Amino acid sequence: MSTSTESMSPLVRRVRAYFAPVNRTARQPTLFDPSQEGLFPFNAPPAPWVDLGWITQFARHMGTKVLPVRAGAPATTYMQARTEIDATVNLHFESWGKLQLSFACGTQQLNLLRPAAGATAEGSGATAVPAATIDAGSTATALQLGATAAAEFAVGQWVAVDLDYTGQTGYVGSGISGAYVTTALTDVDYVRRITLNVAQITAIANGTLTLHAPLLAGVPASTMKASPVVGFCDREGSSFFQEWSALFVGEGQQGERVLWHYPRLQALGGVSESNIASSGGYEKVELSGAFRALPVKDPVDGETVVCFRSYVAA
Amino acid sequence: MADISQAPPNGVMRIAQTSLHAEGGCSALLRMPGLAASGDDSEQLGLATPQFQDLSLGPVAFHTASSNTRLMVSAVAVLTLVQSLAYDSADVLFETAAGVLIGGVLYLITKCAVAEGAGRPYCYWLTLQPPAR
Amino acid sequence: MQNAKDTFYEALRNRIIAVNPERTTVVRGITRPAILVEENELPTEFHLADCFRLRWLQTTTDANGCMPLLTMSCAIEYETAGSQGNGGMDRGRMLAQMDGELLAALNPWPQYTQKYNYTPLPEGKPATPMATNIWWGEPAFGTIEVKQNRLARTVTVAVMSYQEAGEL
Repeated sequence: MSTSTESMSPLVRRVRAYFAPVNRTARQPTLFDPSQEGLFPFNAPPAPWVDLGWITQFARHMGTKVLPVRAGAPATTYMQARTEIDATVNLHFESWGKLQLSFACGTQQLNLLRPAAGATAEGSGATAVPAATIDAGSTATALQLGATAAAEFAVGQWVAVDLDYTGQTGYVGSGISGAYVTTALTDVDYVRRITLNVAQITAIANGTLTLHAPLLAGVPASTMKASPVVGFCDREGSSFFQEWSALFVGEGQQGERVLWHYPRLQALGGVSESNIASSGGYEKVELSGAFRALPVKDPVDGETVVCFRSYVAA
Repeated sequence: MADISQAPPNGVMRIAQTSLHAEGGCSALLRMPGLAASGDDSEQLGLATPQFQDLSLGPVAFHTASSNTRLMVSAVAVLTLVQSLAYDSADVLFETAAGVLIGGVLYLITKCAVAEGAGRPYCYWLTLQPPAR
Repeated sequence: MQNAKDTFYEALRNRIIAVNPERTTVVRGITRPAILVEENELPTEFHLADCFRLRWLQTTTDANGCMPLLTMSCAIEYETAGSQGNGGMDRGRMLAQMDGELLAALNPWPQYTQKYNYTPLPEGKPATPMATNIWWGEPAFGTIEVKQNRLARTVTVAVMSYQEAGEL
């Protein structure tokens, strides 16, 4: 009987997903180094990685084509070549949050801003109430709006924090690009509609909104404003592809880790959910996601790759 | 079950005690485990060897028929043990006991019933389980 | 196999203490955490109330890997008569509290812990860490059973471990 434990197949109960932003303008993903951070605590990933919670139905598919190169008579394979590199990932998110919705839908994920009185109905939200100015001294978890403005918000509500849209084109959204504007728009709240820089309000006191988690873009800039959010909306269609750096971690029962790192993932399909039978006659609606991995060049040896699989012993 | 831990024996209890003496009942020993060691994990993992003390139950009446084995014990004897060992009640005494030794055979106590007279127990019926063969 | 049983008991006991340090019982005159392994205590037909009692059931093995994988089924039984001051009318609430404590002990990550050999303890030496971990699955809560003035429940959980070379 072998005494080796490393050779036992990892017994993994669940896989956890983590996200980090891709700098779309610089085309720079976030890389994960398993040699330095492979055994991080599940609930405390190293910055800038953000916990997306548990996932189920995690399935990886290899689409890489390996062709034989034959020569001679009879034709014999004397070498092989990889002609197409491809990899896809399918999963279900166990939780519904702004980030999970954004990556599952794969395109702009819209914040439904509180509508102004009498605004015309629109499929992705009507014209919003004016955004509140954020005062100096605000932090990533506490927004100082002043008593009057803070009274327009409620505990438990979400708030979107970002710049006014002033006609710019290209990638928009602070911290993480939430959309790509090809033609100038007119909605001053557009950036706050598509931003992923949102958080939930846990307390309101002395004109300050306390948030449940730090804003992804960090301390708000002086030019940013806050809009109350009543919900989220995504659409089947549109031209924008959301892109994110992904890390999936399965922990074996001996403390070993299997880590799957995809530096660049884009949605492979559209908006979908899966209904899973639950108890008592109910069905659980799970966010489904299917993604294609895009390539990066590994600086270690210059090879073009689409994903990394690491095994780190405890 | 009526608490006999504090009160002295009454007339009914003495009658029961005397009857058991007169009928030449057999003797039995109540096997009590010694105190466990506090905070000792080996006690909790079955690694410790407990100490036992065997205490007389006085004259008893032992009945065995088919699979039914019962022991009648006088409340006076039980009262003496409860008071000397500072147990809260006879219930606690019998629940804590490791068993009853009769003729060198250790029986497990599976049930305890009390017979009362004038609101006071005068004897206890212990249902016993013989050791597995 | 015994090491896995001992380790699971120790881990569960420590977690129960962390969840509710007030849950204690008296066994052989000593106050201790209200959790015990039936086969490690004196045989008795009397069940302590408000105490978790572990009983090991069946064991299955999978010998396909380089180390046999053992799966042992553990039944955790507990019952309560409620509190005397309330006349037992709170026995449902107290059973629910015990349900919650057990779930809080068994469910949180990690659901594994390093396996130890506890046989050196009687010699006054510490337990010896072994090369592998034990781990356990999700608890399955059974139906509430009414036992005269007590409510009782049995929870079953699968405890897995590798049988290491030389381990009995």
